[in-house]
Amino acid sequence: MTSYALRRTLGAIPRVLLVSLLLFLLLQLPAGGPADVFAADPNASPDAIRRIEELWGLNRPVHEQYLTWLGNMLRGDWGFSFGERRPARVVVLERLGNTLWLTGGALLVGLVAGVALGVATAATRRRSVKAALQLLSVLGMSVPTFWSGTLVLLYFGVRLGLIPSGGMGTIGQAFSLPDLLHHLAAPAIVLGSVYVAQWSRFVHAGLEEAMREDYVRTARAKGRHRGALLMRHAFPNAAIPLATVLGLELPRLVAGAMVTEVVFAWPGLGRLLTESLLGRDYPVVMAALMLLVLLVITANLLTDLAYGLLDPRVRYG
Amino acid sequence: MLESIHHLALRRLLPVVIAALVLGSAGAQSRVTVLSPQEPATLLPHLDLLTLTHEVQQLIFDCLFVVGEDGDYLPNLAAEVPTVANGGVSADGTTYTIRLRDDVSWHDGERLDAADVVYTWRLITDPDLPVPARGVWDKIEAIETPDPYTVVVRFADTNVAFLGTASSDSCFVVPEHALAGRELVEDPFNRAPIGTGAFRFEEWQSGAFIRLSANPAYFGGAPAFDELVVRFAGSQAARTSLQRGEAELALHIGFADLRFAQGLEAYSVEQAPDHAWWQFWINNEGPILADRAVRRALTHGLDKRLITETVFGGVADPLDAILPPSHWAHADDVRAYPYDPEAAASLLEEAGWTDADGDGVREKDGQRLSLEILNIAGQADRRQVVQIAQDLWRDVGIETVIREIDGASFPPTMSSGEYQLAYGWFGENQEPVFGLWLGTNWQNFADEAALDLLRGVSSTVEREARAEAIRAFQRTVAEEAAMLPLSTRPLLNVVSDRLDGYRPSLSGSLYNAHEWTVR
Repeated sequence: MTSYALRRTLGAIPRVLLVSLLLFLLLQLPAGGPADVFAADPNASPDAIRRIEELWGLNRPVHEQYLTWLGNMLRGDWGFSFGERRPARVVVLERLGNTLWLTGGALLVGLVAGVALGVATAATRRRSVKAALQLLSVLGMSVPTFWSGTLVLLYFGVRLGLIPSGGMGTIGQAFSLPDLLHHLAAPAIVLGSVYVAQWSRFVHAGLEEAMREDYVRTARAKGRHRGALLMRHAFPNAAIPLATVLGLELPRLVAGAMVTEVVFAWPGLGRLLTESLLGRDYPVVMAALMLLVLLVITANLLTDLAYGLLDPRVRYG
Repeated sequence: MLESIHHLALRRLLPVVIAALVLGSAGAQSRVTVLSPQEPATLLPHLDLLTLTHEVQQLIFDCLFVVGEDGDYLPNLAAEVPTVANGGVSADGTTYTIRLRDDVSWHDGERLDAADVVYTWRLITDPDLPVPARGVWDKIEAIETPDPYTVVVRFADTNVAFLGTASSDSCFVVPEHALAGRELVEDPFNRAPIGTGAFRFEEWQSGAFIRLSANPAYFGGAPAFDELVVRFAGSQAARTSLQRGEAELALHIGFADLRFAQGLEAYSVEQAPDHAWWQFWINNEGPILADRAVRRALTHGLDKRLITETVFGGVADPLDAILPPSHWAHADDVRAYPYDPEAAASLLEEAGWTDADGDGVREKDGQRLSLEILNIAGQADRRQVVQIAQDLWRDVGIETVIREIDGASFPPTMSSGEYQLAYGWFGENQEPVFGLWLGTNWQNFADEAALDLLRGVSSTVEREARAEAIRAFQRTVAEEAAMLPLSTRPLLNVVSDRLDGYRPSLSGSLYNAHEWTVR
């Protein structure tokens, strides 16, 4: 398994390089560059704009800029944010931490509630309950987070005053975990609700399928009750597709939290990425995107490795 | 026994606990919260042109002068405003002698003096720093400091824009002792600055807020509250905060939030002074638009009031000149083109643009009267304006195609000349620099005699003579329909009824925050 992981990791290097080149070139496509962000201002002089391009090395040929960027990146220097005037690594990692709190919370909500709902749907024999649970999951999947987030804020934030209006913590207060969780609850539930819907259907479908298998029939014949059949025999098998989905969703959870971040004023990576794109802060954009690329590759690898743990039949060759 | 001791202790302690709670809340930090739709990139002045960055910096730093509510220059770090009358400005307008206050301290306790002003000039004009706008600082020949509290600024030529620059555009004086010899673009100062302002920097949480504390030693008087927090909140987050009454002020809201804000209890929407306006750039060198009749027809065919009443919610005013009425040099006697589709149609007929094939679009010599409108993507009100214009112009037989691009692509696309019409806004300084005409000139306006009027402005000491030249220029532009002004562009702030003393000026919405009180 170790050699398999090592080979997969080495194999990813050319892919990462290719993606970095494509991303770098894509950024060069639209007209204008980082210094042009200033150019619409009446006070900015064209000479000053050109000077800034020179200072930031933007007047050099693109391949030279890319190679410089790559060389620096390999040495651990992620570049310098044009906008914030501090290392892009600091800017991005600061926000990554915030986003991980949000997506971690959402993941937890999605996983716990999704599994519970999926198992409940599979366990019940009453058609009306089944239908209601399924309707709930379809609703969760189809309602966009900007809408559900706004409703949650309006009702629980404005009407009831139960949740804060946004941000990660009470301003002026030192960091405390209860305060963070208080701010995290609503956005995590809103973001997680999308996954509750999806994952509960996966669990449900996986369980229904497993319940028709021979080994379950055997277990039933041996007199085990339905709860034990579901959890001990069917669930481990139904968990395998869930692991795949989870692995594939992980990067999207980090990048896709943007809408929730905007609604709840959460200072996360998604918001940083959009703002940096609009502000043409290339070093920050590249740093954030490369981080996501690495995340996708790592998540894929972990998914494959998780198979081995969940399914003893899987061998790595 | 044990129980009764506990009971006794509790009964004795309870009043103490309650008293502590009451006293604690009475002594709690009083705070003013300001919502801002954008976050400053850096707090080191002069590196960022964003208006909202300027607003935040205004709390921490000071300018030599400020612009008061009624547009007059007032002394700030300077002890008085130099004029020709008081001997502060030489008769030829080349030398400014500025006496500084001698009671101004930086937040770290050091005294501000003339060396800081000289250092600020050096920083702004340092070719190795990414300073996008150097204003008139670039034109200064020398600054002398005969004593620690006197600054003599010498220009090679007459310069009338110095007070304007030193009061609003790029005016913040920075501390020499904290910055000299440092690698400025990478210095921690950028995110933890030391200023002379009414508020000291405390904390900046990226993407969330900047927290400042009152400077009890502020030369203009200590603020009446302990803290000022600038929270970065997009439209949605700002709405929630306002509904909960969590903020005293929301800066620069968009038109999309106007009606919502007007419906809020305990808040009012107010306009902050700003010389900005919305307009359609017309590429005067375009194959179709070189024809003045077409430019005039476009202007006649645009119902400006329809747009201001609908998209701008009635808070903006239609505009005919290329400077708004708030500006002292605004001309109110330019040729106006009232909305008149028939006049537009007959202008086009006379110029030979007719709809021979009956498809609703005019043509001339085989060329269709079809134009492209360049627009910046991502803002609902921008798109609505352009779409209304498109409908109105279709009525007079002009076809328009909308092309949307991102903000950073706008300037290079415009300067390449590859556009016909473009929608956007522009702002002019209190002492105008005419970047629109003498700098970018994206409209390719080529009337040199008219442009010479503007070129002469910066060396005309007499203000009324400057105003007359600028007004003559506005009349020429309107006569030629070389630009299509649409309306004023109001800066909208949402102000809490609890907030007293809020008096925005051209120096910003927060420049007098130390005079605010909160009920």
